[in-house]
Amino acid sequence: MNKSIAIINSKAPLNGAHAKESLDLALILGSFEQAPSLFFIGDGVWQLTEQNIAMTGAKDFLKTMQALSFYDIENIYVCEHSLYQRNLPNNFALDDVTVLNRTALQNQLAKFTSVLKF
Amino acid sequence: MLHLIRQSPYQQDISSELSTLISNDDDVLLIDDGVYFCQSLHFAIIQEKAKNILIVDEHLQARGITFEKADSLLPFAQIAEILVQSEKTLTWQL
Repeated sequence: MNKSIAIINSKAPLNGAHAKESLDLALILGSFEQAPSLFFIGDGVWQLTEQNIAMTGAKDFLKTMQALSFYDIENIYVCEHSLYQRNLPNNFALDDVTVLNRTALQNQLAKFTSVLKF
Repeated sequence: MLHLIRQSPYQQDISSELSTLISNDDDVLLIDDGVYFCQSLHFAIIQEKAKNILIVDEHLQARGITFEKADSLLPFAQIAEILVQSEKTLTWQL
């Protein structure tokens, strides 16, 4: 049974190192032919909007997200409810992001053999 | 999927995320500070969503909490067995 990995991002970009560590892991997995699928829920949806975190002196690791497809990481899912809660429109810094309602997100997540949450 | 909840419901509100990620054929195991859920309003979300709920007995006692449904109490020694049985787990921690 081949492994498939889902990474759930639930923290805002500047909330500690969670978002950066999660992205680092995704890129590492991608470089080992284990490209994960990424799920953004809760505050994690804030990672996908156009922004400039470098203004706070932080390293702008969100820019690295543009390299995701280079690492074969192409399945990116966002929780519709979380966007609604935060009054966020459906446009993102990344292209081909799939917005899913709760049930669809659960069904999609169930397809993976391992699930990590940041 | 087995949800391993190790964080308190009071320190951070994950109720919305719980409703998003717990589907009704999932189970939940409350361990460490996760046991506080059984004395919180958010426990209703877990009860409504999850199929089976287990709570580590020693962790409850250590925190001075009693839980009425005895068959939900899991002895610490059996945690490993439950984990081995479940084919997939998702850990919730701060």
